[in-house]
Amino acid sequence: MFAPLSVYFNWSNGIDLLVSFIIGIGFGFALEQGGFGNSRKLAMQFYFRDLTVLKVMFSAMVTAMTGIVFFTAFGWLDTNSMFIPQTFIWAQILGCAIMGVGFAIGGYCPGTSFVGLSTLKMDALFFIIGLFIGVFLFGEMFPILEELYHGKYSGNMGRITLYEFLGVRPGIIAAIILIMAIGAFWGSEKIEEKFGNQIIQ
Amino acid sequence: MKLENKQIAVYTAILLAIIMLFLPGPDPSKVNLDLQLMAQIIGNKEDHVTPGELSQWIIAGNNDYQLIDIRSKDEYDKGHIEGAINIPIENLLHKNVITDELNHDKKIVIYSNGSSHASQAWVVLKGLGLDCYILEGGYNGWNAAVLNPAVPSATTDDEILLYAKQKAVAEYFGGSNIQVQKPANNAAPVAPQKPQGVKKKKMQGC
Repeated sequence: MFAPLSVYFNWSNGIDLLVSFIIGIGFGFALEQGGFGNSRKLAMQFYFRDLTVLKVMFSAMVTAMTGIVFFTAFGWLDTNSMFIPQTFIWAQILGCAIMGVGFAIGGYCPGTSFVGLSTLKMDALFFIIGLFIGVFLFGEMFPILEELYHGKYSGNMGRITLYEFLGVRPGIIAAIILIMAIGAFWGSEKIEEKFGNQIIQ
Repeated sequence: MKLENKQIAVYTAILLAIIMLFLPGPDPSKVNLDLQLMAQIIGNKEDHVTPGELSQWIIAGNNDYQLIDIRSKDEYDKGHIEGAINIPIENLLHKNVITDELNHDKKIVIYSNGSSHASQAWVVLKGLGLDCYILEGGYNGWNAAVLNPAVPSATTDDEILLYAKQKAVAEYFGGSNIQVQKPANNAAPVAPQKPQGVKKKKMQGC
């Protein structure tokens, strides 16, 4: 067993951040090359004209998931040492809804807005300013939101994964999600064929 | 037949999905010590239950916990707490005992004679992700606090009431040396027992 590397080599925070930075640059570069720095392309998904975002993000997820399942089975990876954020089901549903609205309005999600800024896109800059205003407002309103954030209305389920929740082996969930991904790719190509050439008024 | 890239990708994904169906998950006997979390639990005193709490659970007939006696079989046969099952500590930390005999959905309360063996086992079981607690003071503490409650030296109504309650609990568990002496006598207790509150503090930790 040698992974996660940061746990097994006991990296300091500095090394951790440096490695994260390098991986982040790689991820950002891949997103930029995929056209994710362009808010128009990103927004197209909400009109079913270009579902690249769904395909890329779903591919990234199933690739990582497949790797984790295989590495765990080979005994290379200790999933207990991996960082898995806690699940706060109600807080996360609300947060995701807010993020979705922001994505549809702004044309970016937080990650892609920085990709957009890297090629000096003005709309990305405004999106990031909005992002920081949101962070500031959240901080100021935190006392009101605390119960929802991690209190009794947050739906705290602790550090839990789908396979633990359902009490099955991780591979079973992973296989189902992989088949779902294939279905989603097939479905999005069909949708693109149907709506791809429509002109938005 | 020549395959397109897309077809190759789909077939590969389906093949991987089929293989994953049969892959084993993480090793359940892998100990993962989250030191910060454990320190927090110990600091908040969420690592143990008191004899008083346990006796209430037993009397109330709670079934959300599993009581494990980790002493030797001889000692268990001589006397144990009602409802306890005997898994000597040298057997407790075996992989199949942990996966098969310990109930991962319930609170697990472990006790030894004192606290040290139970504390050692607690660290391991907690590291395995079990909801584990030590019986404060161990079996000795149980005997002292539950079976032979101390006679209060003062005679306030509250203390008499508390003593009557403790005595009832002791009788429930068949305590042998129940002091029938009335608290109103105000004489020194026959056995040199300290009030429960003091005892509690003394028995904390390993």
